[in-house]
Amino acid sequence: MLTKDFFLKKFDTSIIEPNVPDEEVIAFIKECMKYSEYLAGIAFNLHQLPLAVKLLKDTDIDVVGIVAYPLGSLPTEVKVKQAKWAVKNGAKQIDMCMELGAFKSGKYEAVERDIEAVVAAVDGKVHNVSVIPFLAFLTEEEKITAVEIIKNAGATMVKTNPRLLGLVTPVEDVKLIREKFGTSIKIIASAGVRTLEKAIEMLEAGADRIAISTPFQMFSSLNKLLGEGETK
Amino acid sequence: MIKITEKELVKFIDQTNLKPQATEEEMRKFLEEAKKYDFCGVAIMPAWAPLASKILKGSDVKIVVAIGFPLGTIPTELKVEEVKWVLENSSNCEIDMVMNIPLLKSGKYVAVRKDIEAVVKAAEGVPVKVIIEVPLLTKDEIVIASLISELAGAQYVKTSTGFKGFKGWRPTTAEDVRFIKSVVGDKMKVKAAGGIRTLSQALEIIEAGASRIGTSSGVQIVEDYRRLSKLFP
Repeated sequence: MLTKDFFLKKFDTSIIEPNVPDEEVIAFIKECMKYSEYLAGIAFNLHQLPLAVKLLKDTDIDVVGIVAYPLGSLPTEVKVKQAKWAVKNGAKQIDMCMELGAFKSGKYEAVERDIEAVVAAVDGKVHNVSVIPFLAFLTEEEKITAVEIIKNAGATMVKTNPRLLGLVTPVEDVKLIREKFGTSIKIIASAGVRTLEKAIEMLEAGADRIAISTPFQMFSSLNKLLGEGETK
Repeated sequence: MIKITEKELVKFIDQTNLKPQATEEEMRKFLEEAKKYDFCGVAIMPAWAPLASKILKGSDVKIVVAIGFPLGTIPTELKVEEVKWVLENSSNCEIDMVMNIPLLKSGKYVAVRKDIEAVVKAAEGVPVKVIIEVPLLTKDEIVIASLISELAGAQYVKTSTGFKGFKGWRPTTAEDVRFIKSVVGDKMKVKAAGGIRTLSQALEIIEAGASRIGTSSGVQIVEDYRRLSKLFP
């Protein structure tokens, strides 16, 4: 039987639509704080990150800084500047997009150096660097190569796909990474996880975390589910 | 009868490829094609600017680089860093920056203006287009965003990123262009982008007053022009 422990700090969420005014971000954070036991991190539009850091400073939720998000096609120098800025302003996790174009062109060394540079720029100042390899665009072999590169570059997490591109992560991708890499890298299952059922499936398949965009609905379902479990 | 020559038509078009999965081979082909068709520009992400500069050397096809794309929500100083990098690593370029829409939606108009001004300044005379993301704005906000872009010294208002992942996204229409034109008059140009796929859409948008069209279907549009101009001479 699944208990509450199974879900603690297992979720990331985000408010990164390009049209959210500050008041909406503040309201979102206040709501999130009610569920801090489930939430590991929240990603924000970079310019709203300082506001978020201020509001979340007395919680154990990591503020996530997004780098080259959601397309990845920025030069390394620019990515490094974004990451440094995020950390300077209080980010405790970096979610960066891999340079997919270079990867698809077979330039694996360049991709690894790109990630290494961001990892080096934030080294010791964040709890995690997660890299988004856009698994939905990759063949099975490429998926393994990408995660290998991400791991070798020193990132601590692989985040399956960016949201906003309409991609969906199948549970098989989580299983594949877990099977090939054991516990040597953490997995954030992201993009298209809209229901609690799907989230549980991902966690059981070996995901360390689930990134969701509709957290309150999911957490309230989860509380109901756990509440029912307790009374029985 | 089509009242525009092919030479005129191609100079309205910024042929666009912002796909994250585009390979170097695909980008080379895309850039060679843009050169062959002699489009006004190619719209690309910063990472591809050096390759574009190499391939388009000697042509007058402009290298139109997307800044703060597609969210527009990186802080001003990082937009400036992106622009500086692009200017150092690219020739014959233009800047298509995304406005900070949350700031606009929060009523922080001075900050929106400063964000654009900083990019205009960093661009050192290179034309700057401000993407205001029309599908996400009310009519009043479109007016405000256009006027702020003008005040901040940008050359163009650009309708949309064309990025379909945002809630409420829709294609840009001739009506959008006409509306923005009615606000900025002759003081600014309008670039229409987002969901423009056909020749008839392009012609309608040009007639509405757009000076530039951003589309990933530029080649198709010109090929259709060639076919149709034979049928309707």
